[in-house]
Amino acid sequence: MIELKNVTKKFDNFYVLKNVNATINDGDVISIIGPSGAGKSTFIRLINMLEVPSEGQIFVDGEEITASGYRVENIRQKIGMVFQDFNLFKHLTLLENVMKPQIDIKKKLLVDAYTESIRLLDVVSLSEKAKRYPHEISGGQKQRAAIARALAMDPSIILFDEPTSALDPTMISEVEEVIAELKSMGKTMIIVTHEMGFAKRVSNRVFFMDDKTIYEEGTPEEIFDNPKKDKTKRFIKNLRLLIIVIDRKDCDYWGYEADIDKYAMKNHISVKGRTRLKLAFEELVRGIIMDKLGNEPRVNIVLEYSNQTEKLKMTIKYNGDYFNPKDSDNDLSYHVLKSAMDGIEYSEIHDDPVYKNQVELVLDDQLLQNLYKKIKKQ
Amino acid sequence: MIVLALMSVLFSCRKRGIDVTKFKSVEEFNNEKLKIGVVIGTSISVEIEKVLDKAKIEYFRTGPDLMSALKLSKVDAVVFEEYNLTYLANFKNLNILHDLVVGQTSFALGFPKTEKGKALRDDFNLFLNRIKENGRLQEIVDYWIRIDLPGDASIDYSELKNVNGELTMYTQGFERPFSFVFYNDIVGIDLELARDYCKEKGYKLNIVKTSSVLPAIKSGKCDFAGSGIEITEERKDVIYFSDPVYVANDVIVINDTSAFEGYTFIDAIRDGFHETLIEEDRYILFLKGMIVTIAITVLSLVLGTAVGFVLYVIYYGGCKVIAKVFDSLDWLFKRLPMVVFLMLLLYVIFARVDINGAVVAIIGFTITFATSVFSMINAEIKSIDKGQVEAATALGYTKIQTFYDLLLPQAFNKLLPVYQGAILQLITSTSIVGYVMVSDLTKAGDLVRSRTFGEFFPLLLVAIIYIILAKILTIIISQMSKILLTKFLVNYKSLKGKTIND
Repeated sequence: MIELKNVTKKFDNFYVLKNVNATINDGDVISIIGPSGAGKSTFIRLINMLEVPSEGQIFVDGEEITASGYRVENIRQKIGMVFQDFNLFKHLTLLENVMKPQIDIKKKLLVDAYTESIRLLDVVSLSEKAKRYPHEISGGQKQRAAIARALAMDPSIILFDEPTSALDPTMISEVEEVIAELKSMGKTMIIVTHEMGFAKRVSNRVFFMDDKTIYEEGTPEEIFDNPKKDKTKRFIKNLRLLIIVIDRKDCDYWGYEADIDKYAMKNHISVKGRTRLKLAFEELVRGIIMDKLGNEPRVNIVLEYSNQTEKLKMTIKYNGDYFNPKDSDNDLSYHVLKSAMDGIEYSEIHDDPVYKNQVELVLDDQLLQNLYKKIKKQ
Repeated sequence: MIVLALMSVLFSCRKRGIDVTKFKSVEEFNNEKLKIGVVIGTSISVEIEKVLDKAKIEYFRTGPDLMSALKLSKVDAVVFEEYNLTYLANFKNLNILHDLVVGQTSFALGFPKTEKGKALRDDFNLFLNRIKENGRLQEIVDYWIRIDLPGDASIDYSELKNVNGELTMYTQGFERPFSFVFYNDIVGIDLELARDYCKEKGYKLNIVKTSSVLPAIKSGKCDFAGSGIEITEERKDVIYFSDPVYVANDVIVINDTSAFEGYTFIDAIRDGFHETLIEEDRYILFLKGMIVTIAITVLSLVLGTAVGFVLYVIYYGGCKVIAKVFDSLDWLFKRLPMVVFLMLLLYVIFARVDINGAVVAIIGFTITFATSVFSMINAEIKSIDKGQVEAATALGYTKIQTFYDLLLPQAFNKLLPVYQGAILQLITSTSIVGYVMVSDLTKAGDLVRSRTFGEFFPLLLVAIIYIILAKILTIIISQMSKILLTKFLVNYKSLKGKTIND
C-alpha cells in the first residue's frame, strides 16, 4: 500500500504539486491523466524517490520512505519503473540488460539470473531477440525489454511514465498488451498515459491531475464518461477530439494529414478508413474550400470519434461568403469526396462572427471495426 | 624514411646563385644578395651586423644547426669561431677561410648576479690570473682544444674534498672544447678549470647537465656555470662573468662542393652509422636516453591515469570543485606550451627547492596527463544519456554502483582510442625534457649531433626509436584493456550447456 500525506513538490518557488493526498491499495491499477505540466510524472517519480518531496510524507507498505536516513535503495528494489524513453543500457544485450540488475543488486547467482531473464523475456515475447542490442530493435520491443528488466527485480509495484508516448502508433498496442498481462499477475501499477481506451481497459481507478493536485478521481467510467468537474470535462472532451485550425494559405497540409491519421489510428479506424479520411480532407479542404477563401482563410476542423455509434465525424467550419461545396467548379474533387465519405451535410451559419459555412462529414468504419475486434479476440 | 633520405640528398646538391668560393676579403661578403648564418645570442651575432651590414643575416640556435644550414646551402656562408671549426674535419664540404676574421669571441664562466655570486667570481678571477701567469691555463686549453684527444681523456674528481662545502656547476655538454661529451662523460676546459679551482679551495663539485644554462644561472639554482659561455653586453646585465678563459677568432666558412666528388651515398651512410653509434661508444648515450624517456613516459602515464581517475570518482561522488580545477588546467594546457610549463615548474615554482629535473618532468607530465584523463572520462560519461542513470537509480543502484557497473563499462570502449592517442602525445611531448636538465632520447640525439655535426643519422635513429616505443606502448595498453573489458561483461557464456544457442 502506498500513502501520500500532504505531499508538496516545488522547484525554487514554483509549485509542481501542492498538498497531494492519495492512497493506493495493493493490486490497484491506476491511470493518471491530465494536461501537460500538471505534475503527473513528478507524482509517480515521488513514489520511488527519484524526486524528493519538499514537504509531506510518503509511506510504502507502512514504512516512511521520506524519513531522513532511510535507505531509498531498499524501497526502489520493490518498485519497478518503466520510462517513456525506455532507458535500456545501450552497451548490453537485452538478455544482459535483464540479468545485470539481478547480479549487481540482488546478488543472484549467474545461473539463476540467466534462467530468470530467459523466462522474463519470454513473458514479453522477446526470447528470440535476447542477444540483440537495444539499437537493433524497434521502439515497441525496447519498451517490452524495459518492462522485463523492471520485472527482473520482482517488484510488487510498477510505475509507468508515459510508456507509449515515444512509440509509433503501430507499436502502441504491443506494449499495452504486455502491461495488461501484468495486471493478471496482481502487480500494483500506476500508469501515466494519454491512451484513453487503454486506461479504460486496464485500470480500476483513474486520477485526473490538474491545479497541482489530484483534481478528480474515480473509476474509468466515472472519469471518462461522466466527469463531474469542469476542467475534467473539458480535458476528456479534448482527449476525444482532434481540432485543427487553419489561418494561412501556405499551411502544413502534410502535418495535418499526419495528425488526422494518428487520431484515426488511435481510435482503431481501419487502414482503408484512414485513407478515405485523408482523401476527404485533401479534396474538400485543399481542393475546394481553400481555393475559395482568398488570402485570409479561417478553417476550423474537428474530428470526433464516437464509441457508441463507432462512427467518425469530421466537422469543417470556414469563413467567406456562403458557399456549398456541392456548387464548386471542381467537380472531380467533389466526386472523390462523395465516394470517400458515408455522409455529407452542408449548412449555413448565421450567428457566428467568423464562420459562415459548415460541412459535416461522416465516416462509418463499423464493418471493418467488427472484423478488427474479432481478430483481436482470437 | 626513404623519402627523407632522398630529400636530404637532393637538397644537399642544391646550389645558390652567387659563387663565393673566389672571394678574398671580408668586404666582398658584404653583399645584399648573400645570406650569412650565425648562432643567435653570440657575440658574433652582434658584431656581424656592424661588419656585414648589407648582407642578409640568418640566425640559428646552435652550432650544429648552423653547419647543417650551410651544408644544405640554405646560407651562402657562416661566421663561426675558428677553434671550433677544427672539430668539423669530418665535414667534407667545408672551406674555412682562416684569413677572413670578422671579429673575436671571448669565453668565460658565469656566476649568478648575487652577493654570493660576485664573491665567488672575484675569488675565481684571482685564481684564473694566477694560472694564466704560471702557464697552467694555457696547458689546459692546449690539451682540450686538440682534435685527436686520447681515448682515455677524462677529468678526475676523486681528490675533491668537502672541506668548505659543495659547489653546483651547470653545464650544457654541447660546447667543445669547453664542455662536451667524450666517451659518455662530460669533459672540457671549463670542467677542468672548475675541478682545479675546487681542489685548491676545498670544495666538492656537483655537475648538472642542462640545455638551458643561462636561465639556470639567473634563477640562482647553481653556484656557477661553465659551458663555453660567450661574453656579451646583454648577458653582462643579468649574470657576472669571470675574466676570459679563452679568446677566439671568428672566421668565415663557405661550402666547398668539390670535396663531394667520389663520395657516394653508401659512403655517407657507412660514415654516418659509424660516427653516430660506434665512435666513442655513443650507442650508450642513446640507450641511456631511451631508458630515461621510457621511465618518464611510463611513470607519468601510470601516475597521471591513477590521479585523473581517482579524482574523477571523487568528483562524480559530489565534489564539484575538482571539475573546476581541471577545467582551468585544461584551459591552461591548451594555451601554454609544455616546455614553458616545465620550465616554470623548475625555475619558478621549485626554484628554491633542490629537485631533480627528471622529478620535475614526471610531476609536470603527471599533471597534464591527469588533466587529459579526467576530461576524457568526464566527456564520455557526460555523453551517456541521463535516462540510463535514472533507470539504474530506479532499479536500486547507488550512485557509485551506477558509475562502476554501468557508466564506466559503457564509456570504456569509446575511451580506449582517445586514451591511446593521449599516450602517443605523451611519448612525443617528453622530447622537451632536455630543457629541464634531463638527458632523454632527444637530448642524446642532440649531444651526438653536436659532436658529429651530422643531423641525418642521429635524427633518423631517434625518430625510429620513438616510433617503436609508441608501438610497444599501444600494444601493451590494448592487451591490458582486453583483460579489463572481460571484467565488465555479464559473462553468462560460461554457463555451458545451459545457454540458448547464438
